[in-house]
Amino acid sequence: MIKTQNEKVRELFLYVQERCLWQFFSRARDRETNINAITRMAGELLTGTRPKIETPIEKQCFADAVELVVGIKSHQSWILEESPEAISGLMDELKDELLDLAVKSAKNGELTWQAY
Amino acid sequence: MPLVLLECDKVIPEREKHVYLKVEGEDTRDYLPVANAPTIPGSLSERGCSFCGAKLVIGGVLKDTIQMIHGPIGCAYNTWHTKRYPSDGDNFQLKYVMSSDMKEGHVVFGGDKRLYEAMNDAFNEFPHIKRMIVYTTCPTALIGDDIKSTVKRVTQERADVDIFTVECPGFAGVSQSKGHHVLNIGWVNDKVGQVEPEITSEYTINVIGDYNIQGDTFMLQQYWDKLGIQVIAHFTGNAKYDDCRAMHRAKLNVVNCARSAGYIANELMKRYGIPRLDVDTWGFNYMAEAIRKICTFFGIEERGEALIAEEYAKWEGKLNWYKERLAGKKMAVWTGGPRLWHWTKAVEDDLGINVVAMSSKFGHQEDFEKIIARGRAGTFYIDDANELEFYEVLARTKPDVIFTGPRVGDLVKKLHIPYINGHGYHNGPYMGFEGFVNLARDFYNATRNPLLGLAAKDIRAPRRSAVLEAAE
Ligand code: SF4
Repeated sequence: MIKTQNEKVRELFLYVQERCLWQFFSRARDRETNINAITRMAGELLTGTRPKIETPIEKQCFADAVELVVGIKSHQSWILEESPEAISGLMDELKDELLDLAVKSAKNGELTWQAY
Repeated sequence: MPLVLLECDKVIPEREKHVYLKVEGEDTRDYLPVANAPTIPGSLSERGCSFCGAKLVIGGVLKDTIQMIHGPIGCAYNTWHTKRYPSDGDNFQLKYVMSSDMKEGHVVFGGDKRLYEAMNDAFNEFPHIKRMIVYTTCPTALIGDDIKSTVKRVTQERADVDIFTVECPGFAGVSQSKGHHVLNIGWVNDKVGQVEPEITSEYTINVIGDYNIQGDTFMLQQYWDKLGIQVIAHFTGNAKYDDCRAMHRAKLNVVNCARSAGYIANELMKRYGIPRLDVDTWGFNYMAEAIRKICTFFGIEERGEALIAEEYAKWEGKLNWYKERLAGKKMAVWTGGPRLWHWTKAVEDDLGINVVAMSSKFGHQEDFEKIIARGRAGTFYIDDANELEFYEVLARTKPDVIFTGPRVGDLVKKLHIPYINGHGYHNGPYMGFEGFVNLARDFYNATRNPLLGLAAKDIRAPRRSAVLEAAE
């Protein structure tokens, strides 16, 4: 059965939600850093591009992205059939959905607490 | 389904905000229980005090450090030897705890002198120990004892000692969690950066939030050794005080318990630019993932794959033996917080066990985000549960085994439901590949143990009825 774009994004989102601790760091800004960098790098890896890594934090995001790609390839194997443009589109939507879950619409009252 | 008001909570309806029953399709944007909030009057909480969070969980694990508790003797006893964290030394940390043993007179006239004497007595008693943590407690905080100045005086008089102060009395926060926070921030402020470690590998990490429960740290250390990774500091399993003063020199922070030690990982990232890699170390699948991520970070992927293959070859058969027999069993997890999110998918993926109810004593909303993201629909997620809630949720979910602490464990024993020590373990360690087989074995043994069934039999019954008949 052919999946719609929404269904594909939803599958990726549910996988990340269940699997990845980096989306739930304590501070909102760290969550944003992780989600932006890891989804971008995962998109690059899925389309055969080596992500640019300059800082230790980017190296950590790279390690998380590599593992995410391994997971996506085995759980959402349909991704192997997608074009590079389609993969970047999917990763962008995945990023937005994760940012919404973990930051924008999050009910966690401590995300921007100064003591953290 | 929205948050749930349990039958037993009708008289304290505020508890509704702390109890969530997940429904398919919902996520934490829909519902997130209130957490890390004051216990509601009328609810018999299972929480510990904030001092306990600092001493029992983190500081007391250090193997070469005198634990000096400035307060009444009970504060010391309540946080002594109830956790099983061995060390590769002489287990000084399990054997001894020091107290200034405050009495009414000291509360009235001040306890600084008493503390000064106790600190010196302790150093004299254990001349080979040169490190100490001094903790304040409720009474000594209330009377305003100046612990820092006493510590300064002792440090000036004894050139070879180093002392850390934790000013976190029991009432400082709503639960143990505040003690974790205070100790983390205090340590990074006062102690990190003071010691330069000997670097023996180009791959250096701190392992943060692992307390060597029944040898967890020893288990993981085998992996780091095989991978050629140097651990600068374990925060704080099997650690020396000075190891943790050198944390600024690691290239990567590997974080297991993000609740009790995420703060120091955040600060090390902010102050020293050391990245934070959050991992799970319980479960085959998760442990392999953690090893792969760490190895990718250092560019030593082949070593990681070789180690994982070796461990799977050794342990996977055993795990699968248990999986065949445990698949479909139901489990409840009533512990501090992080083990809920570490374990729920691990037992499901590796052993086919379904977690039907989870309760956290001191987790924050961040923990509930992770727990609910990973947990199943139809499962209860409860913050700071009380005894009556436990009974009601048990009746509704009927777990086969409950992972919890000895206090709640005794409670459920009366219902003849097996419990496994979710804090100190029954026959651990539980981390790593071999560790997860240990967990599976304990689970299996708990479900097969005939004693709980026999305990339900009232052997007095015939005699009692004879007595009753005679009375009638
Ligand atoms: S609550 Fe206060 S008095 Fe009680 S054990 Fe904790 S620190 Fe001691």
